[in-house]
Amino acid sequence: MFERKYPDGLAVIIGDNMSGYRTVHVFVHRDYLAVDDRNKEFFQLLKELYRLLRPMYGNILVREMFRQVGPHPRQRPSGMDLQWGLPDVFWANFLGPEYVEMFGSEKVFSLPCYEAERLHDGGAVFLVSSSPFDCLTDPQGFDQRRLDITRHLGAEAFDTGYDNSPVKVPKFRYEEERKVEEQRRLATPHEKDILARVPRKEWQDWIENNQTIALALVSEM
Amino acid sequence: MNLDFSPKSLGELDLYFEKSGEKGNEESIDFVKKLGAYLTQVVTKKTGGVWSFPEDEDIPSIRIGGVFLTPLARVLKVLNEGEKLGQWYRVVTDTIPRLQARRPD
Repeated sequence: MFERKYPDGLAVIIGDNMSGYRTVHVFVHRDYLAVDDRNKEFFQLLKELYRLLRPMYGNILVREMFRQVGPHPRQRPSGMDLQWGLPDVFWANFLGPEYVEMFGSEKVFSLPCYEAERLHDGGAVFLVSSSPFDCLTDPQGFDQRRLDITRHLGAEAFDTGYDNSPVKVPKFRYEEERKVEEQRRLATPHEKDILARVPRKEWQDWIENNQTIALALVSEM
Repeated sequence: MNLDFSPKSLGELDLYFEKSGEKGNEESIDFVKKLGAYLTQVVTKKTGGVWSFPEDEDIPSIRIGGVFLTPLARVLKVLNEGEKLGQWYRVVTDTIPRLQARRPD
């Protein structure tokens, strides 16, 4: 994790997400992007990053583009695992070559979007509108374009946030590598094991008396 | 050590473990519980996370928005693998709210 807060906030987080994907997040303060043509510069930068990393998927968004997570306890945020479908349509959307192959070039490059561009590896990137801030200045128009794009690609390719949602996914390049890594992880003793041996009742007591137990640590240290 | 439930205190704990080489083996499960409780208190104080312990789970978690976190498992990683409480706290409090930010209806 790299972070600079002033004069313009920037954070870069490189790591694994909960589904075992290697991820790179680049956060910038929205005021930085709002000046002149910086959103175009940022878009160019992310295209360069795509060239270097050759990801299967990527996006650029402002946080207001996230959908509400439903109240059902089993509903999860969409987009945690590409095997569950594409997370959503955001301002900029990078599709690896496997997605272009799955949807077909014709469909991808006829999207009802602001701009679509072929990438060096056979992937594609498309923009919903000219600026990511259109989602704030014209939320209804922006949402309509997102909906049109989702329908054009087919809603079955998108994760609804429910585990049992039917999805259409491509054959991912790195899936075998991810499975091998997952097997390796499962083969090593799981750190939760010693915790799992603690009776459930003890954990219930632990929850109930959590603050007191925490204070016990305070007094001991 | 000033354990005042602040984020800074997690850094102090990290330093302590680094120097003492504390191990989270089975014998110290009580210590894991105490440290897990402390970490949970610091995180929930900042994020408003709520408890989650459904029947099909072995250990309790906290839920922040749509994300489930297990401070207890993190404590074992800190004790056994040298991971840092402070770093995890920063990821939880800085990143997850940004990733999970809600769009008003």
